[in-house]
Amino acid sequence: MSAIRFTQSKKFRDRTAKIILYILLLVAAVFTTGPFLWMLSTALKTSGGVFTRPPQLLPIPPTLTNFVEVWNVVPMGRWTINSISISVLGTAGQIIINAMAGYALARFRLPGSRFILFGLLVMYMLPTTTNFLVNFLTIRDLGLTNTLIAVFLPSLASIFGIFLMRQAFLNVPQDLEESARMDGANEWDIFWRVMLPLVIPSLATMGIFSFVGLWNEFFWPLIVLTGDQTLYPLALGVRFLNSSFVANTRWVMAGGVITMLPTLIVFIAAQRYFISGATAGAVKG
Amino acid sequence: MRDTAHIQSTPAKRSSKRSASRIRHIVVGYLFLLPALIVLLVFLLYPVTYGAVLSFYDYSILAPAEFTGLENFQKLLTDSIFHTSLIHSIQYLLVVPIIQIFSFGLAMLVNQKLRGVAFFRAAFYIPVITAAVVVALAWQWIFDLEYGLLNSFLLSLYIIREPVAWLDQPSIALWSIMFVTFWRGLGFYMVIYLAGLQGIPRELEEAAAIDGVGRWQRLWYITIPLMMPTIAFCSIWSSIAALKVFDEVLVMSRPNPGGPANSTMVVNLLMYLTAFDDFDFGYAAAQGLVLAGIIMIFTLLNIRFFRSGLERIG
Repeated sequence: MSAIRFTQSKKFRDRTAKIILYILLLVAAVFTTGPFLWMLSTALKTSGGVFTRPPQLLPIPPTLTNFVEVWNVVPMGRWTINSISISVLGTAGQIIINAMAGYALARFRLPGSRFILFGLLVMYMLPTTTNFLVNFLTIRDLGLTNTLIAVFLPSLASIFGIFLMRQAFLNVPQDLEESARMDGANEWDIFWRVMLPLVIPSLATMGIFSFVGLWNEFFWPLIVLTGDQTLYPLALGVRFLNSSFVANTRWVMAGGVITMLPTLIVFIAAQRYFISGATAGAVKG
Repeated sequence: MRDTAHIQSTPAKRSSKRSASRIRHIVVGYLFLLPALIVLLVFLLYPVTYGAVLSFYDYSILAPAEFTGLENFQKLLTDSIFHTSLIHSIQYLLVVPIIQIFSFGLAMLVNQKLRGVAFFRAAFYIPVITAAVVVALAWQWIFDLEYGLLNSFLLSLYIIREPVAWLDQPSIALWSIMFVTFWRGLGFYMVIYLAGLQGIPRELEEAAAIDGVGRWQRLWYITIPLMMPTIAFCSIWSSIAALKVFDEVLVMSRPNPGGPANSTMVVNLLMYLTAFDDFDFGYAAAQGLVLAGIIMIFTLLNIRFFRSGLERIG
């Protein structure tokens, strides 16, 4: 009897615990996604629905006018193309350059490679607070101010990326490379056709982080894109929209939704890479 | 190495052939390294060193730089806006423990074996993958004095009697922006803590549970001690991020950057304004160097955790 009572009460306790857990999870989910849902709701409202007290939670009736209007009032299309160019070119460059460096450090017996690895670790820990000042001067001296190249050029190599790729190449068995070399393949082909396809998961992890990082970048493009608004990526554009007098809240929110949508899609499509990448950097580092 | 024993050749010839291929090997290796090294030298190592040099110059980018010795640093000593910004940057560190506590809690929540937990993990991570600018704009609208969601929510619960000017009142503005930084960081640290928690052997907790150790005691005496390295790592990482905060402050502070009345001025923002509004690059570099000094303290703490990485290489 008492044993049965015990299991029953345990079952009951487990179920209550589960319900409490779900309530906590739900509250937290509302907390972390609520501001975005509110942004979306505002972006879908008609002008009457925005300035009401108490605030009207749902956009009834919903409308897409704000998206159309903001697209026409500010060069949203141009900004989107800029963001795509910066993120795609920067990501491609970063993948290739970091993979090449990681490959060299993992697969070549180079004199001074230990010195380089140590140097990279030291550089990783340098405080970079003044870098944007000097990098602005460098970009200016290179004649690249107000170009999209300037936005991704300094991040083409990342120490984190190099270490990630080195680790990936260290795990590739030796014989594949050897046999390709025996077959007379040249060094670039060995890297490009034989080795690179073997580390695609690591490339994907790095590429996704690089893409999202470049897409969201704000501080550095603000510095190197000094005048011309048509060169702005979306992150700078929506901030410009927010501070301009013509803007209304619905347009700003619509601009925000447009800006966050691509990274959200990338995230949903490639979730597992985000989790593995975030922990690779932190826990193993 | 290729087996060359079957080739009839003198030892000298063989070794010269081998050394030629060794040289070729080294050259190719360094060619693969070259692009990354160039980028890192030009945009990472050079600016760190030249930034320090710049702080001893008066440089307005329009006129040639002029060596002024310690003048910039003397100016820092009496510059009250710089002092204010430094205090604000240090105040900003208060977000660190709060982020850590809540993201640890979230990690514990999503570490449960529950249906649909992956969905929640993703939901908690969305702020991390969204541009800080967009986050700042969303919260700016929530903080709105008249039509903001926050004021109407708090008013309806009778927590406040009058709408609060979250971003326009100097005594509150910085706290509001700090809250946004806290909100934005939760998911990032949650994922790191989650990985840490999953590394703890389950048997340990199960054994303790069988021995009748309560939930909270297990958390306090088993989980947290085992998670200490991760907690330390995250705290240091987040401290450095807090000291370097920029995006949300620039977007949310008003009517001018760092406003109202410099109440949200942090060092990084002041540096930006010094350099690109006043064109005083030397002075901005001196301000940055002070911030770098503070960050260095946290970095040195971090080296303890990087040592394992160093040993792996050696």
